Amino acid sequence: MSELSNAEPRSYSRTFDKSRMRRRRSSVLSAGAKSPKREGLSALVVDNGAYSVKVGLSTAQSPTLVPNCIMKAKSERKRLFIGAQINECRDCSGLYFLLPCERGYITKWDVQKPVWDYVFSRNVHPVEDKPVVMTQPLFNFKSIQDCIDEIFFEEYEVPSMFRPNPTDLSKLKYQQDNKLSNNLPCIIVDSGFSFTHVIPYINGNKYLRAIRRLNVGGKLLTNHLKDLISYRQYNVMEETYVINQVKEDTCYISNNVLDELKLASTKNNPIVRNYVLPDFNNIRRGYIQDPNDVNQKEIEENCQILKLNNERFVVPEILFHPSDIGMKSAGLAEAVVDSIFRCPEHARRDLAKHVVLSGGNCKFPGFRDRMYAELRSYLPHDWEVGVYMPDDPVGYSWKGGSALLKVPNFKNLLVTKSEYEEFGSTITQQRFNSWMTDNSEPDSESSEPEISFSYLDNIKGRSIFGKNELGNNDSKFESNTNESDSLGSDSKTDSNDGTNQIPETTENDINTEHSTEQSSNGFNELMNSVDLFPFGTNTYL
Amino acid sequence: MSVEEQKTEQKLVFKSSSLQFQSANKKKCVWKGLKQIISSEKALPWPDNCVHYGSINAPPSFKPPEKFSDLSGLPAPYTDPQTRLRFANKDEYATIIELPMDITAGYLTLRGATSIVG
Repeated sequence: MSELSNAEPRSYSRTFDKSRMRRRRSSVLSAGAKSPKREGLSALVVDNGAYSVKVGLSTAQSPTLVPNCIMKAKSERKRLFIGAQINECRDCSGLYFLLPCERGYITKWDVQKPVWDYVFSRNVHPVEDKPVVMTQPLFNFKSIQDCIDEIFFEEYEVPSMFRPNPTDLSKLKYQQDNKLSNNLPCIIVDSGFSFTHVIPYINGNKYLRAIRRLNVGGKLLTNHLKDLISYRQYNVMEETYVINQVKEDTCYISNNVLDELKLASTKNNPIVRNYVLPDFNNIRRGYIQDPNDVNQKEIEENCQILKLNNERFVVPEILFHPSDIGMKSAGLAEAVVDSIFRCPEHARRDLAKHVVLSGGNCKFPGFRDRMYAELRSYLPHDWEVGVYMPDDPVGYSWKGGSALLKVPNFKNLLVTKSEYEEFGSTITQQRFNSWMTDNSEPDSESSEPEISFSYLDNIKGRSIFGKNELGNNDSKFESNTNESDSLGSDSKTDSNDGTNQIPETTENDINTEHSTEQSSNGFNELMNSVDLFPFGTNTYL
Repeated sequence: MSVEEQKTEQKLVFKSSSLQFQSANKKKCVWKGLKQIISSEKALPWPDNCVHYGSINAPPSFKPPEKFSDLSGLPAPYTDPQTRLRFANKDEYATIIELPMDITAGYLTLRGATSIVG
């Protein structure tokens, strides 16, 4: 019978016998009865990614995915497609994207607000007086947080709100699923659209000192694939939407790039795939051609076919070797290892055992195996290495939202509307940003100075087709306002000490030797900057 | 008596219900770009050893960058000193020396090799 599972009748039957028992039991019961009643059991969980918003009630099984952008189509010039409305668009060629995020941080509020309006309308998920749990990127800036506060508390008038990092949720989900203790160290690798974060958790908290960020994300990979195809086959610079699908359908991560390259250079090799591009007439979404299917041949005769060879694995390879496109930063596996060795010694073995992958890039076939192989070769042989990838890496942190509600003092974490009105944004910052963080000083034994790295901008004055991209609105994954960096370099570059020191003249000058002569002054200044070249300038020349 | 008086006088002293602010500043609000936010964040007086956005970049790689041919993507042992393009064999070299300037520049941009210190 259900007697065991249902605590209530059992306790009633006993309380009839012992009055003292009853009093105690009933007090427990009433406390227990309150907790499911409080709003904790259902909250609106929003994982606000730079590419897609994952939204849904915490009680639901899986989130609703809404593209976090506004799109303009060439076929319907007057209409803006907000979020998932793009499914109503018949001709998705030459889509132009307006993205709310720059390098993962919301800066285009006039784009983000309509998307949120759409998400929180009847079409998707109204707020409905439920607490809102919304993710924000790591080290979100104060001004951005202020804006979110203002929009949610004053525009949407949510009763209460909490903002964790998406990786916090992934971590909670991981330990809940595997019944691990809260204090067990683990590393969350979150490889998203704008960047990839490596975040170690020790004693249930983020260990801030060892967090690493790689400025490689899905956006950069799509843009690079677009460049490659445009250079080798068709000009697809305008077709970001289609090429993103090509990337998702065909790219994979190889285990041995050099061998695979050799294989790819032979004739009739197994790597080549013919990808049928959509014509938005008969074919709505592109697919990989099946050479044995005769029925499809007729339809495909009139279609453009993309031949993909080594592009299939060279593009995702950037995650592990950013040096392939001239970035100085370490690869993903190297960054994980670096992060592990920055953590206190007692936690390192456990960290290596619990590496959790999340985020859309993890969906490349072979990602987990490659990660495991590289970590295995970097770490000491007697350490156990464990790499875990969930079935749905995109929705993983969203699913952690329900795990968050089970955190014992979750109710105290929420900031209510009245608290916000009383204390303003200080209280939200205090409460949200200190949650699950460990900002402790490193042990005195390892008191070597902390080095932080900032890289030079990859100066890309021109696109590969020679036109100057400054302020040029084409349909890259870029935001609408013009930015001085081009070609998605916005995701591959970073806060740079150097930009101010580089004279303007070099920006559009491609002949490198020439430009260094011209700007020898600025160049010397650059080379003397200790901040930029922590290992000395010689290693870079 | 006094209680009734209090009840009737529920007037807010500082707040007039009839007053409405003119939405005078309807002009388009300009949001700060990320670069501005980062630079203003950088200017803040951070304490030593504080971890923030600018300090969590992954370190430079210890491995030397691998060299791939710009044309074919194959491992490239050679570099053309004139155009700085990399090539795998003599056939590719024959192609490279015939390429016009804008194409070679494009290949270099594709590889991210336009940086002045690269």
